[in-house]
Parts: sequence; structure tokens; C-alpha cells
Amino acid sequence: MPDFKKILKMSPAPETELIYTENELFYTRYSQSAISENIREQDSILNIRVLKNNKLGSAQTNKYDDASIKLAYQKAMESVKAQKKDNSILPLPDPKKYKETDHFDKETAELAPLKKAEILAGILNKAKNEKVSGLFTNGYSGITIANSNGLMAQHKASECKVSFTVEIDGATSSWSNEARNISGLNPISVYETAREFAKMNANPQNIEPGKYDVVLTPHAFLEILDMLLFYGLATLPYIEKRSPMNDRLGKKIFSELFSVYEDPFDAEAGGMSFDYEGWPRQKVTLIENGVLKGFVHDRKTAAAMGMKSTGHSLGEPNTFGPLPLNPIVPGGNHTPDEMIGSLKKGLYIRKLHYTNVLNRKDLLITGMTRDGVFYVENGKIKHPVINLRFGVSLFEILSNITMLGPHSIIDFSEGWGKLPWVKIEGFNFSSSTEF
Amino acid sequence: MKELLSAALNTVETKNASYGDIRLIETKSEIIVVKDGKIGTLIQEDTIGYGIRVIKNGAWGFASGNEMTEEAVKKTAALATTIAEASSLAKKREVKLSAEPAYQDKWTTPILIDPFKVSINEKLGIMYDIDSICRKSKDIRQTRVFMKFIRENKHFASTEGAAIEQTIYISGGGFSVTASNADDIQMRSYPLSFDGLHRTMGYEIIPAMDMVSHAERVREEAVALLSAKECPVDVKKDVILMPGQLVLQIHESAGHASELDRVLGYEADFAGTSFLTLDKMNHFQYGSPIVNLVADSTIPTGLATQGYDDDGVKAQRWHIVQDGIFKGYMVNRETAAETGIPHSFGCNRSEGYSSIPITRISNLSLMPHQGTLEELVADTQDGILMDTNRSWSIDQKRLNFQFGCEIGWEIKKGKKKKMLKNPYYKGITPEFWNSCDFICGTDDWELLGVMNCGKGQPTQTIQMSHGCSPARFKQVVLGP
Repeated sequence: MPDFKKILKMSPAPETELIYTENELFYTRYSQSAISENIREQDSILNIRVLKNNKLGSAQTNKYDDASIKLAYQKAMESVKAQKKDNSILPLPDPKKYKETDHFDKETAELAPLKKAEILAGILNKAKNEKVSGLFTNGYSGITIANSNGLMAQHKASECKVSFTVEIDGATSSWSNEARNISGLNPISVYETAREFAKMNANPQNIEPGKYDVVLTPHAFLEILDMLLFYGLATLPYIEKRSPMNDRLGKKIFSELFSVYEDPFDAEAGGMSFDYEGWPRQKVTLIENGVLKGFVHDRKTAAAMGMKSTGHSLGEPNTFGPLPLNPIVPGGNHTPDEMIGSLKKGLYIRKLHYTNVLNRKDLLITGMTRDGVFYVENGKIKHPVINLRFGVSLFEILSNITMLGPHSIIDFSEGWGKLPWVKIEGFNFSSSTEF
Repeated sequence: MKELLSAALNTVETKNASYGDIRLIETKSEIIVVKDGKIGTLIQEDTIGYGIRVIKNGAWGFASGNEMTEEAVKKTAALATTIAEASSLAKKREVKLSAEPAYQDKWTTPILIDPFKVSINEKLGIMYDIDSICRKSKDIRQTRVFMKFIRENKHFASTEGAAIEQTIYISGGGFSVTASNADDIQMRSYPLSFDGLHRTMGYEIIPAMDMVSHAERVREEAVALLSAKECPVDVKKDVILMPGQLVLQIHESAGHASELDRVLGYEADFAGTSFLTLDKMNHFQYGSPIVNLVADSTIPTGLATQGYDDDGVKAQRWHIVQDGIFKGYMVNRETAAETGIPHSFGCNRSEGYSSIPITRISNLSLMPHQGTLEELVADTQDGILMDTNRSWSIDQKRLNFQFGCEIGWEIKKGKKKKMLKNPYYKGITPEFWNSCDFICGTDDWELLGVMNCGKGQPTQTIQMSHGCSPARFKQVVLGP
């Protein structure tokens, strides 16, 4: 780890910020029932940001000797000189106090490749008449933020994940499980779930595209919530009047069953207790009982809306503005069986795939089902269905949530969160594929 | 440098590995974004590190690091070997690589102007000019102008005797504007959406794009889209795709579908597989007889253009689809050996030193046919012309696709008529390419590309070019 105090002392600028990120991650991928890639990635990088006369510059390096650090400062200062004065640039924060979090487990971070291979061999070497693929990952990531005002913030988190896709006679299904701690992972159970649904997915039948009531697993619901977080609940587009949420703050826009909280301190799915400027993060209510309550903020967006920062800066400067990183959607009391049992003529969907936003104003999204979609009649699963393309507005489907079930921990692309099983009425499918 | 390469190879040989290689990569990059008249991003980055691959007991191991000492390299090489030994506990076959020559060579992207010798002031000057033109309308809510320059110096050495040094430059940029009013939000971009246009070129690409002279048109189109007529949905029309959209169609429905690792199931748990199974090679009617899709890692200025891939295999040109018939795959040494394909086509690439090389799409282009865009429009009775990709979605076997574009135009009786907003279309890959009845000639052919192609776990983002001219597809279904 670099010597932050020494590097700060070397700075030629009045204000300097260092962001150092490091990771050691082990990825074991398997396909055709054999380990096909087995990787250790170890990396680190130091981002140096300097501020002088309302101008800023930055440089990144992973070379930590004095000469390389001097060169990085030189480049950052060249950027400063090339710029116009920008009065919206804020001074660096003073030292802060943070809530204590504990997301690091040494055993999870250091689980040896041999141990993982032994666990996997117990599954893959027994696989007969089926093709098993997936990923088993473990390791840790860390971040240190230090600035010339004396601020120092550090966070280290372990993580592990296992996923299996099982193909039996051309029918596939998949399942996965994420945790901060290896004791929360059960590879055999995940494999058996994927295998069970692959068997159920044999001989899928075509159904007419159209509107169906659906039950989505938490992993399927992730594809929808990701679109809402990035395109709907992003703060900067709202301030710049290019958000679908403009004129909707304080209004009921979704089902009263639907709430979203940004909670960095959730015991299972929380994350860093500070943002990428070292500002303390807070829990924020985004949607409550269907009402749009607010947004996450960094110091700039907070000033623009007359609010206080909630500690969600992604680092300065950036063009995206602050984003939620640990979204929690509270679940309900229904079991998945009850939810599926409530479908008169509907679909039980295990996973969605390749979702994208078509129209930002209406939050119209499209995507495909994948690895297990089942037709349900009078509460009973009748048969698997050939995969379908959906085209839905988030405003419509999130207003049509009628049941919530238990939640799972989910690894979003930006952070960790919790999502429940959901039942949505009137989910529109526009076409089908060939498998 | 040589000492570090030797330290890695000696270590894996001492540990009785049957194969080992090391890529030592030094990267310099500069990213500048001007957003709404202010600096959005200005980063200069210098990194160095290495990735070591090993085959032992018939299985792979890989480890990376960025501590540039012989001791650290040896430790990383030993770890890669240990990981290979662990992999061999769950194997179904021995990993084999196709036989290839072991090259000792140097290769450098030909450039005219070194982008790192052009001052930031000069770059920002152009960007501020574009930005100020783009913001001259009350309906413009966001402007974003960006440039990116990369220089990668890569040393590759293997236990087979390969020793290759390559220096690859990537330069480019673009801009986008977002307009909105109480009723709508619309975007326009130039020359391409998302990451703009990049090539393996020097700074000379920036003046060649002449972004300033397109800024006013792009701004006015974004504003006009707010009040434009909606593109029809749930009907079939003849669709003319301009290169700004066709590149994504090629990328998603031909490029990823022809990656041999997907066909063999290596990506089954994540990105997916492919409908282009091995039994289809050399006889499957992928498209109409005028459809020729050529992969080419030798094409000048292509984003996947290089001397050698990360297996040390020399750059090549080959058909994926010839006269409409499916002919070949994106192949690396491992998948060639596994399937009996005589040699690798040099498609193994990685994002950087810390990532393992995997099969990637090469530069893949739809070859020009005949006629001009003017003749194509004149030949179309009732159609929609669509330009600039806005969204993409495709199933995991690359069959059912759906795309959205930034802008469309009605074509009626051979004339370009009203502007249309929110043009979407969808289809099934082979049906769609078999409906292609007009591909313009060389005069309208452009080499564009993709900077944000994600694949693998952990996701690796990599670049490739796609060339094409405007083309027409008959009776395509419109809508989400």
C-alpha cells in the first residue's frame, strides 16, 4: 500500500485528494462440466486529484515510486493549467466520522483455488448426461481516501458468489447465490436448484405473446430494478430536467406495495460508510409505498436542490452525478409457492436477460426471458414456455405489483442490495424466440 | 523487461507446466469529457502489469500482478501453476492448443500524429467550440463532448519461443446532446452514439471527423425530435439501416453469434451460447446471397487491428458469411484444437494485463455491394430509414433481437419525407439477414466500431470495428 502521507506532502497543489483502490479476486469458471478458466486478479490504482484556483486536474497510476508519483502530479497540474476557472468546484471535505461497518471475512478473501476446485470437482465430476457451467468467485476489494485536509477513510469488503447453469437434453436452467462470507454460500444447493429447473424446462411450448400476470424471482426482478435505478432514480438528470421523474417528486407513481431504500448500513447487503469524496453515507428513502420521496445526493446536487449531501458522490468530477449503490426493496409475507399458486393464467419467470431502456420518458424497457419460464394455470405449473421478449413501461408494471415474497441478496453491477420475489399483473410480451 | 519475461517462463518450466506465456503491458491513456461547458472528466492514466497463463496437468491457470520485480513475477507464475493444478481436479479433457508458428516480431500501429504530443489546450479548444454550438437552444438540457486516446505497449513471450512486442494506438471521440420538454426526452449523437468513433489511429482522426461542422445539425435534430411524429409500431415495413445502426446489428447478431467459445458452451452461464452450431458451417443460409461478412484483423485503422493476438497468432482475414452461407467462426488456439479447425484465426484478446485472454469478435464488416444511398431511397416505395443506435437487446442464442435508433425518416415513393422519433425494429437473425435485398456500394461504406463490448466474468470491455454501407431489409416488424 502506498504511503499516503508522503504522497500528499509531495503535492504541488493547495488541495490534494488520493483515492487508492485495490483488489485480489479469484474467479473459477466452468463449462461442459469442467473448470475452463481459473484466475487470480490482483490489481491496484491510485487516483490523484489536485485543486488550485477553482480548477482541478487528475492523474491515475499504479506505479508508486517517487518518480512516477511526481510525473502523475505533473500531469494533473498540466490539466489544471489548461482549464478555465470553474466556480462550481467545491473545496475538499474536512475529516469526518463514519459509522463502523464490517464486511470483511478473511477466510472468504483467502479461500484457496484448490479448496474451490475440490468443492467443484465434487459436483462437476459426478455430472452425467448434463452440461454444467458457472462461476465460483471469492476475494476482496478495498478503498482508501485521503486528502490534504487530513481526511482519511478506509473500507475493505470480502465477497463470494456461486452460479450454475445446467443443460439436460437441450433444456437449461440456472441459479446463483451471493454472500460477503463463504459460510453464507451453498454451492451444492445452488447446483441442485439449477438442475431441478433444467429438468422441468424440457420440451417448452409456444404461447401467444400478450399480457400475462407474472411471478419473478429476485434475480429476474434485478433486471427491472437496475433500469429504474439508473434511468429513473438518477439525481443529475432530474436536476437537468431530462429525467422521467421530473414533476413526479412527492407523487404516488407506483404500487403502494413498492418501496426502495438506499441503505449502506444494511447488515447483509450494505457497503462503504463513505462516498468517493470521503463524505459519510446515509440511508435515503427513494420510493415509499409507491410515492417518489427523494434522491441520493453528492455535495453538488444537494446544493442545486437545497438539500444536504447524503454521501453518494461517485468522485469528482463525473458526468453521471450520484447514484444509489445499496438499494433495498422490502419483501412481503407471501411464499413463492403462494405467489405462483395465485396465478390463474400466468407465467413464472426464473431469469430475465439483456434488458435495455427504449424510451427514457416513459421508461419503456425490453429484454428476454431466459433459463426457465413456466406457464401456470389455476395455480399449477403446466409446462415450460419458449422464451419471450417483453416490452413494458416501468411506470405501468411497478404500479401493478400485487404480491411480495422473501428477498435475496443481489450483486448489482454498482453494489449490493436486496430484492424480493414479486407478482406483477399485466406484464406485456411482444414476441417469442425459437428455444 | 526481458528479465521479467524470462523469470515468468523459467518458473513455469521449472514447475513442469506444458505451456506458459506472459503478457507484460504498459498503458497510457487520456480521457477528456466536457459536459455542459465544463470539464466533466480529465484523466491521464499510466499503468503497468502482467498476466501469466499456464497449462499444467491438461488444465489452465492464470494469475496477474503489478509489482514489477523478478521476485513478484516468479511468485505470480508459481501461483498460476498452482491454480492450473487445482483446475485439473475437475477436467473432462486435456486442454490443447492448435499448432502455430512461434513468432519473434515487433508491430506498431501506423499513426501520423502522436495524440500524447498534442496539448490538452488544443483538444479542449475543439471540445468547447462543439459544446457552445450544441447549447444554443433552450431545449438542450445536456451536452457531452468527449475524446479518448490510448497507447498500449505489450510484450508477449511464451514457452514455445514466441517473443512479440506491439505498440497499439487508439484515438477518437464524439459528442451527444439531450433535448427535453414537458412531453419528451430525445438524444442525438455524432459520429456514433455512446462512445463515438475510435480507430487505431493517431490524433489525425480528430480533425478528420470534423465534429464542429456537425454540431448545429445534431442540435437541431435533437430539438426537432421532441415534436416529431412517432414511428409506427406493430406493422411491417421495409427498413433502411444506416451504418450508425447497422454496426450494432452486425456486432450483436453476427459477431457474437460466430464466437466459437459461445458455440462450445464456455459462456453458457453468463453471455449465453449461439444458434450457429458446428453442424451449420458451410451450408446454413445465414443471409441473402448479397450478404458477405468478413472478419479482418489486418484492415487499416480497425479497432481489433494488430500484428498478433494474445495467443501470439498472426492477424488474418476470413469469411464468416460468404454469399449468404455461414462459413466460419471467431477462433482462438484452444477452440481450434477442440473442434478440429486447422488453425486459430487470431481472436484471443484480453482487456489488459490483469484479464485472461478470451475469444473476441475481430473487426467484422458487411462488404459493399452496389448502388448509392440515393438510389436505395429512390428504389424504396414504403419504408423507414433508421440511423444511430440508441438501444439493443438480443436473446442468449442471438436469435430474437430488438433495436432502437435515435432518429428515423419516412420513405414514401422513393423520397425521404417526415422525421420520425422512437424508431424500433425487431426480428429473428437469419430471417432478417435473408430479407436483405440491397447493400450500397463502396462510396457509402464506412468503418465504424464498438468501444464498449463486454464479455466474460469478470466482464472485460474491448473494442472492434465494423464496416458497412446502408442496407435495406424487407418487411421488418417495427416496435418494442
